[in-house]
Amino acid sequence: MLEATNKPTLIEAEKEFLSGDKASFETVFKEYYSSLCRFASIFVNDPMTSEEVVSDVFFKLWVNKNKIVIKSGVKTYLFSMVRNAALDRLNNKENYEAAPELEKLQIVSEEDDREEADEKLRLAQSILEKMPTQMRQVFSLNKLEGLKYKEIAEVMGISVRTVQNHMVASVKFIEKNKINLPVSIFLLALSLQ
Amino acid sequence: MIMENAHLTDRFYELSVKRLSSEISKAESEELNNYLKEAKTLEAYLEMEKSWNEITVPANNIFDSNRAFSRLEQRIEAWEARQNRFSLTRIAASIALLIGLGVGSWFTYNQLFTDKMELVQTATGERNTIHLSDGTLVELNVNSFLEYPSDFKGDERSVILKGEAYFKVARDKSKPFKVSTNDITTTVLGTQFNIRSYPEDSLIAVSLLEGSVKVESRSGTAVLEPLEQATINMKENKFEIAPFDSLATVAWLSNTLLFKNTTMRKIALELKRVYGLDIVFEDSALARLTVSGRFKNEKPTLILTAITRANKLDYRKIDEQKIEIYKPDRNKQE
Repeated sequence: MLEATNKPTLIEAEKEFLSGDKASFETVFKEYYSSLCRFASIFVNDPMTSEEVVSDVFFKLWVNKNKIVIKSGVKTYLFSMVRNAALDRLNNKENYEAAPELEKLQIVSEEDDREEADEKLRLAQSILEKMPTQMRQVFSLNKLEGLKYKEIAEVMGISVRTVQNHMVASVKFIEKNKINLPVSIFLLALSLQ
Repeated sequence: MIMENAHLTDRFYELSVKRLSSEISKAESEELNNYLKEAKTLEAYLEMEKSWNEITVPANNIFDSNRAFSRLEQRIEAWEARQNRFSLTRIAASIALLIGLGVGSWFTYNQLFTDKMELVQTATGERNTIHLSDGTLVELNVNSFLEYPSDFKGDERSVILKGEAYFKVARDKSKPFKVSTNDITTTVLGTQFNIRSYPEDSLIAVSLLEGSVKVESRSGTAVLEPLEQATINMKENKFEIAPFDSLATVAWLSNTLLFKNTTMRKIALELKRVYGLDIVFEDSALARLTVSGRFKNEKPTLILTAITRANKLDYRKIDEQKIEIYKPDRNKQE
């Protein structure tokens, strides 16, 4: 935690994010990269494309760094940029990313051999995938990426009240879908407790 | 299982979800606790909490940020190389201008740069080791600032400090080493000492481990012996010399926080410097309670838990960096 280092802290790095200081740019990138990729994959459906979308956003930010003024926080700014970029990609290239769904499942099962955790994870993943997309975005941003309601409202351009409604709805959704799961999976999930 | 949950109101759901997503206020938390007194509601809440906790980010992160950054870096470098080709002509012009102006003013220009002062500033949670040109070693603690010349000229070595630093001064009898802080100057000939002078503290402390130093301030002047500490109280204009606990004073050098009957208020201030946590107290009386403990390389959450438990208190997150310490109400389940 306290190692003496010349690397900027996240707070410093966010201040200097687009000042041209490479170390700050790198710190911000590495802090949010995985989160942003996970968020992008809600829209674009395969990990490689999400990585492309996120890297493109950072590249464009660097290229245009002198013209950009970030008014909100860096974190919410990045999430909304990635959201817009991912939606653009989705709209422009409807057919471009056909059926990468299988690929994704393979990656998960290949890399995660621990069966029980795997099963739980797949359960969670399958519930998330069934959610309506706006609800899923709100829920993922809060539960998985740790954004506050207010930050989510900024990213998505909706009110805090709407965020809250989505959150309540998503928790109800999860409860309901757990009940509807096949008995075998459900029993397995219970035995893990 | 909650097969039948018609009796649960929307308000209950709203509050439960707020608590799960750490968005709940104090008043709402109490309101929710009232709901949870009923066994059926409590069961429903626990069920919800269980599902909530089951949905997590996969442990095997498939997104490799290091690899992605080096790829991005290559892309940026290629782009920058393209940009520079276009601006080469401009650079050539500015070099010519510099040569044209340069010859006559070279001497002053040169002087300006050799007397250049270097600045090192550490942020919250960050420390730095600085090697000065004379061989002196400075360990700069969190939230501190050191200004020093890149090369010591003249007949003394002067640096300026804000915050806290530990000095291991290279011996040079012909050139005394001087540290100026807010209000005091410490002069040494070759020694090891620690100065703590954060602007938000009213106390400045100069602690001598080896050798000898002279401390000068508005409220007094003294020459310290090893293991003596001069404390200067800025508010009351007091100047005191006393032995000090050398382990506690330089504990920060080994990433250790050491508290000995330290008030919660002081600990909160320390945690703010080291971890950037903003700690508030529900009741100001809580800030006057004291704690002892030693934490080496610990996470802030563990330290918070330990110091609050010691006084039968608890803490909660208000937002990202803000934490409130409060006294739990024993009649309610928190």
